[in-house]
Amino acid sequence: MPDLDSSLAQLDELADELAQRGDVELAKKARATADDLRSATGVSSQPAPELISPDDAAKLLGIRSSPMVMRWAREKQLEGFNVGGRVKVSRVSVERLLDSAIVARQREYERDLAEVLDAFDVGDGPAPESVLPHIGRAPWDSVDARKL
Amino acid sequence: MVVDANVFPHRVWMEPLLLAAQAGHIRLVWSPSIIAEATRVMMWIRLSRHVGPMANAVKNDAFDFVRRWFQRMTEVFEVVDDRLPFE
Repeated sequence: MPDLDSSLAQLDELADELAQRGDVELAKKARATADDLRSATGVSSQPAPELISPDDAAKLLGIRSSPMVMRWAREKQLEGFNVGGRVKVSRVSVERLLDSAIVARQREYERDLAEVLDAFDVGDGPAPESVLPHIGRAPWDSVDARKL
Repeated sequence: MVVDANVFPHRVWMEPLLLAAQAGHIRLVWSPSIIAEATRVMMWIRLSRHVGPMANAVKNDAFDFVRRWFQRMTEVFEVVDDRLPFE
């Protein structure tokens, strides 16, 4: 037995086809019947949006900041949902934001930040000896001074 | 969140802090003493990576990089007064 969702989807397709054939009245009746069934059974006319985590959303947007995704969800730039105490955003809203100016600005900010941080990065471990208090040649001494 | 100078030369530690602060989830603070130490550490790192004579151009390049670094940091860091550890 087919489930209700697929039956309703078939009814929608039927209504579209009737409208294309020019039978507008019958198409309206088919749509009205589908809507009545939805309201009677509590089935939403819109399919549930696909939800993704802020990390996945950030990857999709080409940025590294998942905190910024959560902020955009709070500011209603993205469609945000609270699922079991965790923030999720709809994939559709993320895809809508892909080419927006705020995402472009964030990408540019992160690029510049990475460049600035990389210039001084000493890696994940402890700071190398060159950063620790130095006895002997200072970086600004000439190479010749070391030989003396 | 108080960030001490030993954290600054680690991108893997700094980037999550900066991005969280940029998004407004946390507040980053530093003090005049930490800023002074950061200046010394960052200049040292930049200059010590140079091999060869320490020409003025090399020093200017290091100053430029440190200035750019401070520009980015001052966007998210707040300055608070130094306090003794036991206060």
